[in-house]
Amino acid sequence: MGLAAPAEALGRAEFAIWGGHAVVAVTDQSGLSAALAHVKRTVAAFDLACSSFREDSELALLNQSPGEDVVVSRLLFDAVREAIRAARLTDGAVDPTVGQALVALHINPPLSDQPVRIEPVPGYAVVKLDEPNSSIRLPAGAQLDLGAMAKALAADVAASAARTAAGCGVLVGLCGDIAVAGEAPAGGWQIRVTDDHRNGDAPGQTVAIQAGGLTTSSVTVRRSADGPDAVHHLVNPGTGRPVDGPWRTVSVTAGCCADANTASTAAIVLGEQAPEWLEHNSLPARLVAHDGTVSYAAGWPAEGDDL
Amino acid sequence: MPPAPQQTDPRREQMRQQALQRRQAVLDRIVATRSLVIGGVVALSCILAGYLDASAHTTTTSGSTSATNSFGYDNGSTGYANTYGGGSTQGRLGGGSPPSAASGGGSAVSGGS
Repeated sequence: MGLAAPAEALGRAEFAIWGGHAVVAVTDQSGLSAALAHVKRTVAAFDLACSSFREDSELALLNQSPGEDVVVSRLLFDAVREAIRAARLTDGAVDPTVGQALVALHINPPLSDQPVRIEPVPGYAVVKLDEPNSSIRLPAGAQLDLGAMAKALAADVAASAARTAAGCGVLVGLCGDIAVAGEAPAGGWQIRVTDDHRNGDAPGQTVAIQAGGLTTSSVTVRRSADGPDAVHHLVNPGTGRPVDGPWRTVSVTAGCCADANTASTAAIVLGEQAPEWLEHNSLPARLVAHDGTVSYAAGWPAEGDDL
Repeated sequence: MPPAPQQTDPRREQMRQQALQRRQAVLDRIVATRSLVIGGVVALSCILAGYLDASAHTTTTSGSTSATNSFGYDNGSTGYANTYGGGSTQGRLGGGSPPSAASGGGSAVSGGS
């Protein structure tokens, strides 16, 4: 094994994606184009399968076929299965059946002209997976949203594919969800943690990771229409409404980006219980309260925090 | 009036046939050699790809307790195909290490979207 690449030798590229931006960094500049190509292919595949914002996605077809066993691609099946696993491991704090709630909140586009009420979500247990046939069945009134899970999973898959293609260490960031694969540069992959991934100059903290994933969930970013009625996109499955808890932003590291995203989202929903839950699950986290007070869990360092 | 048919010299015809056969033999050898070279390159590429894939899996799983997810899909129209070893366990979240404190801007920004 060779020496880890120094940070100044990294290759790096950005491109626009899903209303934000993506970052691809490699430890060997010569592998950047191959890594970038694989990341873009992965992102395109996930978008076509899992997007709630395009009518031709597989997810849109599934959401419009209640009561039917819909045969789906392996990619969508795996993404839904991962989302259900996340729901199970968080006792429903993170739940993929928030699709209709997001439509009611004007965050996701409607599938029909039918009015949609704000109410508790149906819950992940209503989703029926048939693994041998790669089919999924939703009951009437249940719609899936895979936004957070699909983005994090895409980062994991893209990092793995890009690492193989580039033959060096790779970092993939998709709208603030970070996955790394292969050997990290000297000192680790340095990542700036803030409220909004589009504003890296905002107060926050720079940390370094060697493996796995790092994600940040925040209620400071508004997704619905502008104005006083604008709301953020993190829905409490128990109410079907945007989360109204003590935390404005939570960052988590885990063995992969999908798990980190599940944990950071769950922490926002869990509210006061989040620090204990994160400690219990050994999930290092940085939690920022609405007044700017910062808490740390499970070994996340406090050094160098601007807040 | 149609032209008179040309007289064929049997000896010249035999030499022409032999020349054609020799040329065909040379072409066959070229094709065989080229196939052998291409086959070798393909085989080496497969071996290399397998090695890289195995290395990727080893690296991915080393960051967690064990890998239980398996994504091996070819997503139709995009031609996308990949195998992701997963970095998590089915039974619980986690498997990561705490980050270390650092300074500077960093390679990427993690924030809300």
